[in-house]
Amino acid sequence: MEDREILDLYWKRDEYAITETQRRYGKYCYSIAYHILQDREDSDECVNDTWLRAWYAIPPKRPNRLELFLGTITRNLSFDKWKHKKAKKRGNGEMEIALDELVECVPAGKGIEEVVEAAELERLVNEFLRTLPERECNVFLRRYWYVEEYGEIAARFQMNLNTVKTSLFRTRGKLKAFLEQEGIVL
Amino acid sequence: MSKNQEHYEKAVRIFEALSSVDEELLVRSSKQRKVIPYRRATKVMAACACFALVCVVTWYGSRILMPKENYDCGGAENQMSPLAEETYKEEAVVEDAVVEEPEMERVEYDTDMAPAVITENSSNKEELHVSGSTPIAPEEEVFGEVELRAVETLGAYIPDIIPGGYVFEFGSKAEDGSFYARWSKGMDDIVISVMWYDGDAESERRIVDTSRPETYDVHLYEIPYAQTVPEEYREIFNAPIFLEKDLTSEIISARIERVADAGDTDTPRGRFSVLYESGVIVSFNGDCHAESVWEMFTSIGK
Repeated sequence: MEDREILDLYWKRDEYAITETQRRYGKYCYSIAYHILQDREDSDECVNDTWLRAWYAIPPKRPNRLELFLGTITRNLSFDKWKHKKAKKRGNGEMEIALDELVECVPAGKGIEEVVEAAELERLVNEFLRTLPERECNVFLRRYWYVEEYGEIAARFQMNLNTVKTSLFRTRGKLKAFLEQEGIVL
Repeated sequence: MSKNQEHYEKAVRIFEALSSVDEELLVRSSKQRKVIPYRRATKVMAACACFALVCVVTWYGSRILMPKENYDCGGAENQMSPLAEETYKEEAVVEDAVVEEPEMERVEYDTDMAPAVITENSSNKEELHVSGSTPIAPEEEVFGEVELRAVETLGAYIPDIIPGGYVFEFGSKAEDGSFYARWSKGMDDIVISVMWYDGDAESERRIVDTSRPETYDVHLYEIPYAQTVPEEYREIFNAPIFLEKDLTSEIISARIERVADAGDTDTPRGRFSVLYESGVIVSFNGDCHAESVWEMFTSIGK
């Protein structure tokens, strides 16, 4: 069933919409959740919550790209769950490593600027990503949006593992410089 | 809160900010390169080698068997010896057999959703190994250059001239016929998108008045543009649409620049769109010299 038809089911409040969503995007969303949580049960739970969120969001929403709409919900839910678990016990999963890496992007504040609003930070991150060469941007997103391991990214883009690492290292440096130039304080 | 913890919380903010990344960027990042299997590539290479060998043998054979006066005067093709004629026939057969030869260099992109085959893993912890499970959103079908050129009306807007060395990689087409096509030369890419102009307010705002170079000329500003381009020009500056009648080599030069980016090639790059009178928009995004881009655009519809 195509996205358009699935969305029609949501709009008609037909519960078959969830079955079809699960069939078409179940693995996709599970994979996003699993990369962040590294736990089968938690990932399942996040995926099921995703369907519920989608059920309440559509209508009024009618996403242009259903897969990304669902993927974003899954990512957010998974990250919330991950934070909740981390508060209890700090783990050593891929998510932890990815965040450690992102620390390198934190701009050095001078202490006089105001802390940037979330929406403004989102806008700036988008703007920054658009300044990157396509492949560099893709690698960055696979790492920090999908939380994929270096090896997976290297395989996806037919790149050398070290090239992936170098690319990410440089992009983190660029993001830091970009945020600093924008006078951003996090 | 310790300094480390503080930085960590800030990293979390960046991670969360990434949640709102433009869909277009996410879709792009889900493209997967798939290399032709080694065995298949080997077979094709072997076929090529055989073909080359047959050519050499044919050429030598024709020289040895041909009466001297014939090939001296350039009339060999009309008075071929029976053996040479036979080898030419063989060559023709071999040529037919290797019609698929270009496929060897073609890079395919995985357009299906990742299979996400889940298998139990014996490693530590309770985790699963999600084999091949990198999330790939379902994508549109991949098309070849010939198929895209054959698309009704829009296909004619693919430039006839593509700069030397750039090889067609893949294209993708939407239901309404709009499509994009990519050519690559090493790390340099050229992406051409062809679609119908939707005429919405956002697109209208991006149409350039060429008498105002401050709205589109990349050479007037320093990178990062976020810091130097005035807020009121950002939208049009990032994705300008030029009218067909306004397009000149100078305009294209104003949109192409060399960027010193660590780890990238130094080929000039740029992006812009051209709106044709027919209501078709052709967008260019890639790494290429301005003269070559101009040549590409002048070859459209010729």
